[in-house]
Amino acid sequence: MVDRYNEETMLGYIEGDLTPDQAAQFEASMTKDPRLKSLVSQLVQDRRTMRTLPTESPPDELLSQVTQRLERSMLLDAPPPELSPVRPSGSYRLGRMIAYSGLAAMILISAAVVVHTLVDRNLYEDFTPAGLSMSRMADNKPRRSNSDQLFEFKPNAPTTPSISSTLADDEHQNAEQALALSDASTAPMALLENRSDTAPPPKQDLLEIINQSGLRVRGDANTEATGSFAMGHKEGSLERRAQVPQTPDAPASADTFARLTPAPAKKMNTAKDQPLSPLAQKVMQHLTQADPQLASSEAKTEDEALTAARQLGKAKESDAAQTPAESPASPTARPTVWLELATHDPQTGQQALLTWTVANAVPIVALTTPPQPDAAQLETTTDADRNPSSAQPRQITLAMTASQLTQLLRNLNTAPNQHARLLPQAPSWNAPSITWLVQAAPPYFRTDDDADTAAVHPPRIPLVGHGHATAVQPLFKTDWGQLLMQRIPMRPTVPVYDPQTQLTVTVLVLPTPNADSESTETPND
Amino acid sequence: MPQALNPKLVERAVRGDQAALCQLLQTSQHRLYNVVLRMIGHRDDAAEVTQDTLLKIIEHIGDFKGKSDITTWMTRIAMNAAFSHLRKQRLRRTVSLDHAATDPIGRVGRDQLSPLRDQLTDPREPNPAIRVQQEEQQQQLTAALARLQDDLRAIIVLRDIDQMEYQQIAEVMGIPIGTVKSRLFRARLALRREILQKKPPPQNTQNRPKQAVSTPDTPSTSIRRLSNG
Repeated sequence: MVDRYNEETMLGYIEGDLTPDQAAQFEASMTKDPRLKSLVSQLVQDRRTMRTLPTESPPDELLSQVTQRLERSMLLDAPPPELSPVRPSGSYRLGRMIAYSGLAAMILISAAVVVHTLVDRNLYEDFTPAGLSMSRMADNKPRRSNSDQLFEFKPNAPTTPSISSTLADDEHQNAEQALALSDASTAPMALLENRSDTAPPPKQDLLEIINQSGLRVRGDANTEATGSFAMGHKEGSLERRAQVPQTPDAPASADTFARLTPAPAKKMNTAKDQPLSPLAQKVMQHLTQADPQLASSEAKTEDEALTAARQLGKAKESDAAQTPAESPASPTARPTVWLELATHDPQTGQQALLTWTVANAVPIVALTTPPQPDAAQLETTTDADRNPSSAQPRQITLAMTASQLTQLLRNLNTAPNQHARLLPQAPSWNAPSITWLVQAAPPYFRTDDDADTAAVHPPRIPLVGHGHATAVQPLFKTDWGQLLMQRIPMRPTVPVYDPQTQLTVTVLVLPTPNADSESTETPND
Repeated sequence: MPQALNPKLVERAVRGDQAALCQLLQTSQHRLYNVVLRMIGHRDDAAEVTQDTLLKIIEHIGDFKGKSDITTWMTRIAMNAAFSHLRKQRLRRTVSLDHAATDPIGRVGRDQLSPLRDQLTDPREPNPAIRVQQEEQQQQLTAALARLQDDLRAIIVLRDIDQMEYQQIAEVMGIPIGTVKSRLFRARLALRREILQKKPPPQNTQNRPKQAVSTPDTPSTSIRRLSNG
């Protein structure tokens, strides 16, 4: 049969590509071979059936999930997952070889660091905070060796995005922080040393960390105090988790936190008798004193603008702290806060984000003011917003519920002129870029399990019910978010919040767009 | 043949018009999802792979040079994502669409595509017997398709589900047209063989001539000979 019939002719008949004459000729030949006729008829039937298979509608949330993944990538400072639609070319393979070589070098260096750490685990009791020279920290270091140079901060060196640090405490008194370095050859990140035998970092240094890196703090009043994980810890373990115990002495700053903290959510665990840890006291001591000079900084870049916004919010909070919140928490309630230290190298564009937990700590930077009584003033603008020529970052604060924010974003994404819709009183506004800082109350918190998977999954944001804004949580900023909201008419929702949750939305308008398009792997088309 | 997209819309999207890109994705997501779904056979995984595809399109739309059709370009990304997913899945576990999964009701063959199969039922169908027969054929075909090799399944999906021309399939798969045709023919034969192999035996075989069962010239043996030839 194979010899008698041309494969292409059979396929052409099945696919309907033959001319009528060719088809008739082929059908005539098939009459001589009933088995072939049966087979061909079955193949034709298969093809017909295959083409009548019903299609299925994609999930309704498909596009919105895409936007969420992009937002998640933005939040984690990681690019979306790479999928290569083309086979690697020769140059690409060469690039991969170089990358593999670099990876091997990193592994060797990491192994050397781990081995060295295991040999002498007391060598790295302190690390250099970001943005500081080693000389500035020299007074705080009890011991030091040449290998500490590995952890020395290089002001112009790029930071690594894969750095993670955490706080752990298994000595039942001190909060201990560890830093993981995926590439010791690049600049390390800083962490705050809090050992009982070392002096706290100078206040100015800590403020400098915040000024240069943008420190965000999220916390709630009474979550159970827990530690999280560490990588490259001095103990030699690559990953470690420890329960942070409670210290017996109550802190003096608890009531300060209470003024800044919303009423506790129902599902949160309450541990009213637990005092602040030494680290929390130290952080409180150094960082809750707002510097009036911070708010007057002139931002030139987006990161600077973000920092300026935080500083501005910090100043606002200082004012707000003078009046008690509507539902103050118990003065003895102790928070667990998540610290995020984000750095950005404007030269290389690389970013790094450190997240660690501080048990029994206090919010040191809160960027929001309590919600305005007249919420949902969407038309709220300022004079600066009406002035497109202003080169300064502009900030608009809107108070609204989560459902109103959802509706606002939905309108924003479907409107032909997003900016005009966003700011109806400034239709001529032509700001090239915009940054959203959505402040919610209370900020989300994560469990230990979430901390382990935070790099993989987005943080779980529980329903918190009604609350008041006291801490900031930037859900998205629109250097990426602008792309999201304009490219994809997602159905932006704030599903993690109760629809009536009061949110404070800060719209930070940045004067200059960053039009640099990063070269990526180009699929052949 | 997949519906051609508006060239102006594509051009605007490539130039960075985000609204155009949004419209492009909206238009294409249904087709891409179904292609991926037929390749993977699992609804949740298909959604995830489709998300990966859309992310990739968003990321690289600016690099689209227009040398090929935009639908072909997007389908190629989707197929590569599906292949990548199948490779990873093969390392983790083995999933077969025709496994004898029994749902709580006790029916056999329920899987992720069962809701899809449920949709096959046309309430306006006048003859229930024909409807059941068609449903059975489609189930067999779907299950057999899932058992095919990835490259053979891809050819059939592109040709029958996405209804692409040979040239488009060649661009998506990166193979010559002649290879597309020969592979398509082999895929159809393999599909038919899978259907025959998994087809349940007749109920009353004792009434049928024995030779009819053991004859070397049944369609299945013809398929084997064709495939080997």
